Amino acid sequence: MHEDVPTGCGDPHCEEIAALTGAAALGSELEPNECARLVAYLAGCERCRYRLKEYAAIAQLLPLCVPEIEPPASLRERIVAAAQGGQQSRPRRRRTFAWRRLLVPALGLLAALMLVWNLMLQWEIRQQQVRAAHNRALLLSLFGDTDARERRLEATDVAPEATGRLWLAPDAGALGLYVDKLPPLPPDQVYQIWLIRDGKRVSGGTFSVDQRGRAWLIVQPEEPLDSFDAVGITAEPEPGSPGPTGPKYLGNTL
Amino acid sequence: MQPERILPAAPMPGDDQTLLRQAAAGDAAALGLLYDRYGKLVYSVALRITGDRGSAEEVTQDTFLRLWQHAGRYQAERGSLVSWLLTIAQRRAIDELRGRNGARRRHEVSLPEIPPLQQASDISGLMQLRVDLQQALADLPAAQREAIELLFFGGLNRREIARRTGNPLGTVHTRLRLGLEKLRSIFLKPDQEQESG
Repeated sequence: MHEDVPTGCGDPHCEEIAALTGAAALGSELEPNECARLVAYLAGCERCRYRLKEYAAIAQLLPLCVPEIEPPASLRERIVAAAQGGQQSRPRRRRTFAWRRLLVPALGLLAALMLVWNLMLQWEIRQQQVRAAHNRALLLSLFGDTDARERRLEATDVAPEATGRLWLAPDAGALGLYVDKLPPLPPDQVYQIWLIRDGKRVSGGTFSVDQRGRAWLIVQPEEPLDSFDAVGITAEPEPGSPGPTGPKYLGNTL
Repeated sequence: MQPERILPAAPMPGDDQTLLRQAAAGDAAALGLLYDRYGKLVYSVALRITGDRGSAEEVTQDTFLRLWQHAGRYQAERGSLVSWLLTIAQRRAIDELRGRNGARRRHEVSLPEIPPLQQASDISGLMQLRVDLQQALADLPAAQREAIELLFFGGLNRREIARRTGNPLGTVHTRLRLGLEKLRSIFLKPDQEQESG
């Protein structure tokens, strides 16, 4: 069977990224390395960002494919009653948690230790999976949401060739940054992004650029994104400064 | 000849926006009317994913209670209510499925991160869209349809799909993408592409 391959942006990696984009749009969680790769690529490829929005839109339609089946008549009454009663939801079916085994004294110390070990593994897996889901959600908020705002950063005389873009997703409280042609810094320095409100600067994190001067970063400030009115990027001593001390390379209002 | 009796027109139920405003103001009857409109669809999606009537009822109830709690936050300009409801139901049902299978639940999101598609805001348009979608999905190559369904409705991750189908991960990626491309070419018309681009 011949499967048509849609035209990409010409970059040989673009089709590979498109495959990952499709998976993300359909709800697949992303591993941290996949997310990093995808964000870096989406930030620099308008075609790929556009494609993510399209795929996300198609994924929204898919539930409509399901043939309709009549729910039990009592369900409507239960929902309305739960709403009227301020009930969050009906009591959930009890799940069997592994920790309940601890309540059985006969299991003994060995079983308890094994249980703790198992729980630690489960917790670690859970954390990884939560991060993967979070990664995907952030990605879609920044690049798949038509309401996400995009801003170009203005270069200063320090590096007039440099370019930068921001994607702001206030609902997700996240900001995506992509820079290009920033001069690589000496090993004892890093770039630092500042979020500015009424002249006060809050660090959004530090980053380094590759040989072509490219880097991406996702910033999730503790305070609402809309409360900031500008951003700036400076060079600072490693591992970053409490306030800007070096020259400004890029910046703009939000 | 006896003139045909003309029945008085039944009072038109409120549109989605009106009902949402009433629900946001605490009118549970409005929620009931929204359920009458979309409950069957939400339940069907939940049942398709969970495969269990009890779970489907729970997902449906959670979906409408979430609507009840967040009715005031719904933004009509961002898309149709049915897309909003179905997105919540689909994610909630996948969480239910994964929870039952021993995996962890995804982090809870109160609202869809993806803006719902501006389409089929009226019931007849919705029905036609459903028919078109079912046909388009049926017309996909079986391998592409299977990959999309296993991920979207089956709650499997990509690696699990690769294992189940006996294919490399890259093949799963390609099939997902090609399936989406085909659906995109059918349902995203040029004018929509311009808008979203």
